[in-house]
Amino acid sequence: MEIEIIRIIFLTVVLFSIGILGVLTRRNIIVMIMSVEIMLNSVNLLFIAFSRYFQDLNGEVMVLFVMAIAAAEAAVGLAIVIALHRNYHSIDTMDIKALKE
Amino acid sequence: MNIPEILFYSFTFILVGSAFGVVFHRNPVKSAMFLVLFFVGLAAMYALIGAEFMATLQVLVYVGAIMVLFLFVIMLISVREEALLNMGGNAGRTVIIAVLVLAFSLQFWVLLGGFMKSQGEHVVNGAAPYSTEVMNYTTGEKLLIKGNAEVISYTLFEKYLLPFELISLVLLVAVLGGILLTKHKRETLQ
Repeated sequence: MEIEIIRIIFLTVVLFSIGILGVLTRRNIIVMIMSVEIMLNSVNLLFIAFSRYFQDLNGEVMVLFVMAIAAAEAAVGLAIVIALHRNYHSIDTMDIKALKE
Repeated sequence: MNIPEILFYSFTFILVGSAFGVVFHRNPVKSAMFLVLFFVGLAAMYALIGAEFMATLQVLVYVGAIMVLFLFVIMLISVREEALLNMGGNAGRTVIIAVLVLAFSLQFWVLLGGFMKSQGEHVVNGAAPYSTEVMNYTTGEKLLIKGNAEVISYTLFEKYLLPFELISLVLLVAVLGGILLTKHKRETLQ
């Protein structure tokens, strides 16, 4: 049951980069929030891996807090998405330019 | 190649594949399904490196609660398939992304080089349980507790009690904010 930590670090970096790619390239706000969730979860994996590596529990408790904040963020973000859809009838970031004009 | 390594590589394959599925699928509903697969794969990875309690919580919180929220919002909003952004069409954005990726990987390479040069082999042992010493306040005696959930609950409710309560306040504010943002404007408000 032993896994080298360097591989987990590489995996989390790859997952975090995929999340950044999603936030930068997609125009659908819901998919952007999903990409943010991917980034948060990759950081969670890194927290737990180091927590197991050092046999120190504080990292796992931190993951609990990250989960709670992620739930709050998803709730507020999706509420904003619904409000945007009510006002603009679209959730495409290219259509939301009220401050630009 | 032993069994944990095979499991690790198969979970890695699932995680990376489903993350790419979330980012690059054109239909948001299918993206959400890939995100479910991503969360379940991550829970399996947690269990593999020995954090069973976190694996349970991952399935309960993310798959059970957050994904239901996402799917409800997708259901309420009429989503349509979108064309993927043309990466080559916007030269400035492509250059920014390329420079960011280069700088990030360079920094990562330097950091990992320093880490790998330090001594010993660095492995995560999935079988070693946590243990901590607990004070029984009524009798005053000390006892050693072992196991994942026990030690986590001890740490959470002894050391991190104030942040735990504050998190509940954050969740309350998030609930109120969600209700306030999605509420229709009512003229008959007294």
